[in-house]
Parts: sequence; structure tokens; C-alpha cells
Amino acid sequence: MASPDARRFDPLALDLFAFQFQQNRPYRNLCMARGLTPDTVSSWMQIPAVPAAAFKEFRFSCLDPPELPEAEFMTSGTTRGIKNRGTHIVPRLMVIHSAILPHFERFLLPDGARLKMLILAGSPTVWPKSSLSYMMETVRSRFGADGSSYFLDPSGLNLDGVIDALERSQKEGEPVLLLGLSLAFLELVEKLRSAGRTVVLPSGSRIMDTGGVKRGTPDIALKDLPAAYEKYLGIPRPFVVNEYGMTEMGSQFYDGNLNAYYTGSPPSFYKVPPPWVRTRVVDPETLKPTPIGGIGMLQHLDLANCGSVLAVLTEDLGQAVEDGFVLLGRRAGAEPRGCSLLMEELHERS
Amino acid sequence: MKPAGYILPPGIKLQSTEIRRYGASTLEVPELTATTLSDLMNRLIEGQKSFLAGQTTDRLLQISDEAVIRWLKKDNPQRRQAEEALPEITGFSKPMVKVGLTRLLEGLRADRLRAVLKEELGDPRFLDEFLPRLSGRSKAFGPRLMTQILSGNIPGLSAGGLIYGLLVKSSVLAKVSSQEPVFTNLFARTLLDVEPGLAECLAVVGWKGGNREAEALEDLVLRRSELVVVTGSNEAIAAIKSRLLNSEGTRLATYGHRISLGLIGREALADLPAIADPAALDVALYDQQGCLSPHLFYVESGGIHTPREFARALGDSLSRLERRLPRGTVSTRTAAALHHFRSLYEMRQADGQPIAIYGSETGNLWTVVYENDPSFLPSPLHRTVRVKPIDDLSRVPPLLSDWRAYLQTAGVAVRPDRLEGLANELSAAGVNRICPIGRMQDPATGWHADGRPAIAEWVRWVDLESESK
Repeated sequence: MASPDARRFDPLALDLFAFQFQQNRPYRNLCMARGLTPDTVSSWMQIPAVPAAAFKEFRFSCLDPPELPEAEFMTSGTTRGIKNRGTHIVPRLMVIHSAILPHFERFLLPDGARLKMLILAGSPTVWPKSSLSYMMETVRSRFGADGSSYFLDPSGLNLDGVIDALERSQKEGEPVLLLGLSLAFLELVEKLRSAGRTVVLPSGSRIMDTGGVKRGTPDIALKDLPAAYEKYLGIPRPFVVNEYGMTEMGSQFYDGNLNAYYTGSPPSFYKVPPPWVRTRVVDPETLKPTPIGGIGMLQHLDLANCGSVLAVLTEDLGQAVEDGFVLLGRRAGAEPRGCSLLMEELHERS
Repeated sequence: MKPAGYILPPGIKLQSTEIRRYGASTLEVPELTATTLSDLMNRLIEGQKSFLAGQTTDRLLQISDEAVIRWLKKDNPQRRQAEEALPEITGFSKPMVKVGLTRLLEGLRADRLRAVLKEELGDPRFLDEFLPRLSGRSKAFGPRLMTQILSGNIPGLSAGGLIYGLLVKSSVLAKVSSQEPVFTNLFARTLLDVEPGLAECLAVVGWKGGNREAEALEDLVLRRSELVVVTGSNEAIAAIKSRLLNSEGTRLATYGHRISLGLIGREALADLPAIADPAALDVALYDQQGCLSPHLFYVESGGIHTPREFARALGDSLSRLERRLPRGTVSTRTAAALHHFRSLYEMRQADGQPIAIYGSETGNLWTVVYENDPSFLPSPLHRTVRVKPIDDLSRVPPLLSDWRAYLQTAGVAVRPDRLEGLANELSAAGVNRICPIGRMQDPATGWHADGRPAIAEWVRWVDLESESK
């Protein structure tokens, strides 16, 4: 699993590219403009990537009309009142479903634990267009123990509810898995800090956090989160796993530290792509992959994006390591940003 | 000599300093306590009384002119230190730093400053004595102490503030940005070399903002300064403004981030290089980072050449400028944003939209995008500019309504008989400076930055009335 077989990946990627080239008009137009077609492309590395922002104005769909996709996930966000939402069209949810489960299990539940999930994000009932909500519900329904629940809705984060659940877990000695947005976790530890309360969660409890923090929040806050988890929730660093995903992609990435803890490997705080994904760190000036240790934009090739477009170039920054990348910043960009509401930020990935 | 990262009146003792690296140079940076800052401000207020208040405006102009002349000499050691350090710190190329410093300093020669004083006060001597006015006599007083909170994004920009402060006989506490403390320290050092008496009236300090200690220092500054001049992001300004409430008697003058644009009439398109070259210079200077830098150009259709042809010519001009005045380095993050800007337009173009993209062959050293959509959109800058056709320039002002609060300069190329009408429309839209294309970065002496006078806003008038009317 750790060293996916390149001989199997290339034919799959090229087949999918040929299919998408045929079915997906805006993608085909881009490929032709670059002179890169199924006839000229001979390796996954040559497959043209679309900029992530293009999902905001093009419908990348491989369906033949009038067939409708099973889901359309949307990003949120407005820039100075201009509608600015990206759409990821998913013809078959089964594919996304299959991409979510094994990778999540490998990096969050390598010990086979089945834990009560406290989800600091919204449920698909509340946010049906959110890919993050879909992912949360997928892992909850498959791996979550009884009593797993959501603590975010449009009125905000139910902090009292979370803290009650945490204290119950401590009292009953039943470990929990907390999942959610970094911004929500920041709110939670701030609340605990200001109330002078700490919880010591039972051993085996863990956290999966995801997403950035809006500009204006001190940088230090995000960096300090793992220390705050240890201090206020009693969860040690190896049990804190950072996730990286985006609406425009069916697959996710996780830091390998918890997996390493259970397999006795050295701690690895970087993202390892699943076998059906290739991620390269690309120099924004030359568009060539950077050498190991180099910093650049993340470009993903995700076979789980089979009904939309498989190759996506992001504005997320990363540093290349041997078998993955360190995530350095999300959608940094020089684009102007309007005055977004807190809830919008909470659901940056909705 | 290693440049110190601060300038303090003799005898002010610092508890501790820290050595910080700025590119290839190291600076000793002070760690100020509230007590030291308070002592410092007392000394400056005292120095204003004992030294500056007794100087004539002529003498102060002489001092500042001598400092400016020294800096205009290529072999001046302080200028050379600045030229060496600034490219690495600011990211601007060496030629850009050189050109930028010279342009800014030339605008600070004494004859220009005297003209500004005359324009804004009526007569520079109002700063020296009570002079007759409409009735009675009046004299203009600068603040005893003004604090200038500086941003470091344009090399040399702080020189003007220091000089204007001294001209109104105000002691100046300059708070440099922690990103670029070098220029202000070096230039202030020259002023002190020219006139050692200024050592009691001019201090340069710095602290890193955004924490509780910094806020305590800033509160102190807000309480004790008669005028606080803030240059910086709109967020930084808002943060200072919100804390000013309990500082009665402190005035605030702010210079926030602004946006500018260019408008080119069809009659200016007869000779393409003659209009594209100056337009490219407006874009390239300071790599489009200045508030006077154009984000885009509206170009009128119906001329000898089309707006699209102008876009191509602008690209050619930017390409030539890249050799003479290369763009500076950018962060990976900015490079990624510039690449995305281009590649999104590439997708639209591939999709059949009427778009043209002209750009540097490698990297994204400059990019010109031609597109029909007339809406005003800010650019990611670093020599990235949109060109939009418009059937009549009078249709532009309504397109700017969302950006009214941020508008600064409009570079305009039209027949003289059209200028006044267009100027009125642009003014109504919120623009506060209209100038020829090619002169956007070169505001005239005495211009109203952000639509306001400079010195006239800083002084306080005292009227001396006599019994006889």
C-alpha cells in the first residue's frame, strides 16, 4: 500500500484521461489548447491539470445528458458579493465512498478501534452540498460507535454539548474520536481555557482536525492547536491527525503519525497519498516537480475524480518529502478576499 | 559600520536589544518597555521645545535638502547600504530600488518642499512668525510630537514623512515596520549627521505588532502624541482607529491601501508604442505594489488600433522593461497565485471566450490579459494587468462604484477637450488624482494624497487678534 505499483497506476490514469477527454468538453478544450491529448500523452505525469478555481465557473462532468449526477458538492464563499462557489460533480457516490473509507481507517483507526465520534462539523442533513459533511457521515456510519453525533449547525457550534460529551467520556472511561474543523477546535479550546476547565480523555481517544484558519486569526493559534489538545483534552500529539481534503477531490490525505505510532515506525507528520492518488509539489514558476525538500503548489491526480476531472492544480502550498508532502498553507493566494462571515469560514470546504 | 536598528536621543538606555537578520545585513533591534518609551517621548517633546521650535523654516529646509542631496549621490555610504540591503529585504530588483529611491528623493528637494509649504499654508513663514491674515495675525504650529507608524513596502517612502514632520517643527517618533526597518534608520542617520541638534527631536524605533506588549506601547503612543500618522493596510489602520477613543487630543492621519487604474481614449491609440511604453512603466514601477499602480486599463474602441492591439503592445513594452527594470522576486505563494491567474484565463480562452493572454515566456514576470468583461477587478499585481475594451470612457466611472472607498489615481490619455468632463465623472466616482499615463507613479509636488492636503492637516493655527479691527 505504501509503495503503489506504478505499472498499474499509469494505464488506469491514461484510460481515465482518455475517457474524460472524450466526455468533458471544457477539459478537452484545455488539453487541445496545450496540445496534450490521449494520442500524445504517454504517462500520468503529462496529464494536464485544471486550476482548482476553474471548478467555480466550469461544469466538469463526464455524464451523457440527460443523466444526472448522484451528487454535486459545492464550496462556499463569496468575493465582494460575486457568487464564487465551486462545484464538484459526482456521478457515482460509490466511488467517493470507496475512496474515503480505507484511507481513513488506515490513518485514524489503525488499531481497529470503533469509537464514539464527536463531530465538530455539520451533518449532510444540514449541509447536503458539503463534501466534508458527506465524508463525516460516511466514516460515522461505517466506523462510529453508538452515540456518535454532530455538534455544528447553522446557529454555530454547540460547545456545551461537546463539553458534556467529553466529560462523560472521561467519567465513563470510554475513548472518543473527535473530528472537525480546526476553527471549531480553536473555539473549543478557547472555551475550555477561558472557563478554566480541562478534560483528560481516556487513552485511545484521538482527534482528526482539518482546514485552515481565516486570515486575521493569529497564525500561532493553528500551530499551537496540538499543544492545546494535550493540555485541555489530554490527547497526546501522536493521537492528533491532521486531514487535508478539498471539495474538488474525492480522496483525502492524512498525516501518518497515528499510523506510525501503532506500527512502531518513526513519527511522520506529513501527508501520504492513497495508492489511487499521485500528488506532486510543483514549482509555480517552472511548473516542474520540485526536488525533495522543495516548496511549491500541490498538484493532484485523483482516480476517484472519475466523473469530473482527475488532475487538479491547487493554490495550496506544500513541501515535497520522499513518499508524500507536508501541507504548508491552504489557498493562500493573492486574490482579494471580501468580508466573509464566520460561518462561511467554518464551512470553507462545505 | 553596522546599521543600528534604532535611533534614540543620547542617554536613553535600552533594557535589551536583539540582533535580527535582514537579508545579508544584521540589525540591532531594540526591545522597548513602556517606561523607556515614555522617557523617550518626554525627551522628544523637550527637544522640540529646546531645538526645533527655535529653528527657522529656511534652516530646516537647508538641513533636509543637504540630507536629500547626499542621498542623491550614488557613492553616499548610507545610500549604498540601503541599495545593498533593500533588494533582499523587499524583494524588489536592484535597479528598481535604485530607480525608486532616486525618484522619491528628487521630489524632496528644497525648492519643491518650499512650493508645497507655500501652496498649503499660503506662506512658509507662517511657521516662523505671526503674519497678517484676513484679520489679525496667525501662526502655524506643528504638533510637539508626532508618531509615524510606517509600513515598509515602498523603499524610500518614509523619507517624505520624516522631512515634513521636521518642517512643521515637530519632533518625530518613527515606528518602523519590522519587515523593513533599514531605510528609515539610514535616512534618519543622515539627517542627524547633517544637523546633530536633531538628535533630541528624531527617534526611530520598532516593535512587532499584534500582541499585548505591542498594544501597551501603541496605547502609550496614542495618548502622548499630538498627531499619529499611520501608513499601512486598512486592517492595521482600523486597529489603531478603534483604540484611539480614549486618547483625547490625539489626531490621526491615515494613509491606507488604495487602488488605481488607467483609461485610454481611442485618440491615443494612433501610435501604439507611444502609449504602451508609458503605460508599461506605470505597471512596472514598484512591481505594481504602490497605491498609485494601475490594476487595469480600460481602452476605448474605435481608434486606429484596437484595444486588443494595445494589450499586445503593452505586453511588448513590459517585456522590454523587464530587461531594464526587472521584476523582483516573489514568494512561492504569490507565484502560485500568479500562475493560477494565468491558467484560469487559459481555460476560458480554450473554452472559446474572446480572451488574449500575453505573458513572459518563463515564470510569470509579467502578464497582460485582454478580456471583454468590463467589470473592474483588482489584479494580483506583480506586473499582472487586465486590458478591457470599452466603447466610451464615460462608461467607466459607474463600473467603479464597488471600489469607491479605495480609489486613488486614474491615469488618463484623452484629447484635451475631453479631459475635464471625464475628470469630473471620475472625481464623482471617488478618484482623487487624475494624471497622464506614464506619470501615475510620479505625483506632482503638493498633490493631495488620498484627496487631502499633507502639511495643512498636520498644523494647528493660532490666531493673534489685536484690539483695533
